[in-house]
Amino acid sequence: MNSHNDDMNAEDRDAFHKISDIYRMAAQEEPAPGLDAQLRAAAARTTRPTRGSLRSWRPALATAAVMLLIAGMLHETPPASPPQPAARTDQAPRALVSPAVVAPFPVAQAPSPAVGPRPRIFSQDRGQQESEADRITQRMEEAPMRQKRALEVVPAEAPAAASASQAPAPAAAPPPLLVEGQQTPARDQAESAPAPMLKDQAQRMDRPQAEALDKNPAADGVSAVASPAGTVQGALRQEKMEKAMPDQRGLARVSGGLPQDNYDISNKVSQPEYGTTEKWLDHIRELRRQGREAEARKSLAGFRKHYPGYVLPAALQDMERPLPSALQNVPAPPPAVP
Amino acid sequence: MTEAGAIAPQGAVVPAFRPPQPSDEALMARYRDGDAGAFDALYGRHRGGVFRYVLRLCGARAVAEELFQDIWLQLVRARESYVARARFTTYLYRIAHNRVIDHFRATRGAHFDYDENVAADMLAPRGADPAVAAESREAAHRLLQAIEALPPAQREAFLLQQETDMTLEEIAEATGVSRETAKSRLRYALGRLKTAVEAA
Repeated sequence: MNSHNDDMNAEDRDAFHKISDIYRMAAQEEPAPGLDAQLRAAAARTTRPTRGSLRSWRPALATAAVMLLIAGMLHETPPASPPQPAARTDQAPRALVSPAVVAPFPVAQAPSPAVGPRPRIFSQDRGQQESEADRITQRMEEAPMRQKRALEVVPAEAPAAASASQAPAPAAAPPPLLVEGQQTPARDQAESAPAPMLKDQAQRMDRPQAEALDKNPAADGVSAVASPAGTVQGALRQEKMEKAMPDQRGLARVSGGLPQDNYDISNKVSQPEYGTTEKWLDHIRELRRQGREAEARKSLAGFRKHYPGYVLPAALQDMERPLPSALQNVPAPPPAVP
Repeated sequence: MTEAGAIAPQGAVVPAFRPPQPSDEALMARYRDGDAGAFDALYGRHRGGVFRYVLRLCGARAVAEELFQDIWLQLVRARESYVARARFTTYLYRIAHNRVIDHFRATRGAHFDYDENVAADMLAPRGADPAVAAESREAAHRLLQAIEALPPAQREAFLLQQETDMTLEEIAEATGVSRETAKSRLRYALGRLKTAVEAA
């Protein structure tokens, strides 16, 4: 019963019930049946299943699209390389690296045959550059003989070279140093930076750019400036690269270095550890003289990684004969990267 | 141990099981979520009450049908914004009240001419004694005339109370007045109708 009934007395309540009964008996009007059907149809139109289902699927579709986009972006983004010491001198803080921090013989500890040192465009010593040019001429004359010798040497040092090529190497190729003059600590650190970072950069570099660098020796900026016989050297280099190490061609193009069986003027201009090959060989001779045969061989191995085709002096050629004990220390090469 | 009512005594009539009917608010929520069948159920429950409410207020059947259609279409349009804050009946009759007020304002005069055809449609109890039926028909006629003679506000309060069983609070909410105002209107309406019915 309604709340207002509580306020009525008994007489009013009886009259109210009587009025209600009469009204409910009298009021029987209904809307027209056609109007009912019209209104029900209008209400049903607003709740069509297709429209409702589309609305319910809309958030799910939007979520799926966003997830696909994120997955695509993650897939396209190259994996972040682990934190490396500065491999590029333009990014390396020079003041943070002192010459004392740089390891004295990083090449001998973990040689990197895969990546050669990137040549500098300007050398410090112009006289040295001229002597190097003379040496190039001599080397081009000796090229056939050198190739024959290299073929003889390769089987003997193949295991060491193969294992060293897969090992992480601190001796990496620095980028071209465009500043003439001083040898800064940052340069030293860049030269001793690990190779995998540059290898990763080389793999990420797009193919057209690498092709352009390879096809145009002048565009390289390395052989054109540093080598007096740039065009001949470039053709020779490309031919040898395609013959020898197809999987490392791109790396050589990008890093400016050369495959290890392909010694040329660019490698000679850049002396990663000792400035010149003579100094390095002097260091090896000194080690031998002091009786530190193992260290001498180690340093020679690093030398050989940088200058695979270099003809050693007669006094040091006997060191290249493999010793069983020395070979035992070489780690097994990991599976080759396709 | 048996559950109470599980075993009926012999000869007892077991009432047929009737599932509980969903409330108006639940039906409206289902319709808001896209269940067209819920609207059919709601419409079936309230179509007569809304129609009579509009008919008694505006007097003409044609106008009443037009307003009735507008009221339900407005409910259809507003279904997505429906929130069950109060009884659905209050919500529905609030829409009806506003629509009737708009109609009154639009016609400028708010004349409440009672359609004589509506009075002729009054139905006496079927199968009753002809004399009783004639007396009932006469009583209904007088009552409907008395309702027509009521001021619109009192008439509306009476109709809401009769058609929807609203409380005073709900009538006040549907008509936009205070509870005391609604109570006063309803009391005056009942007094006049009582006088009209007892006068015979």
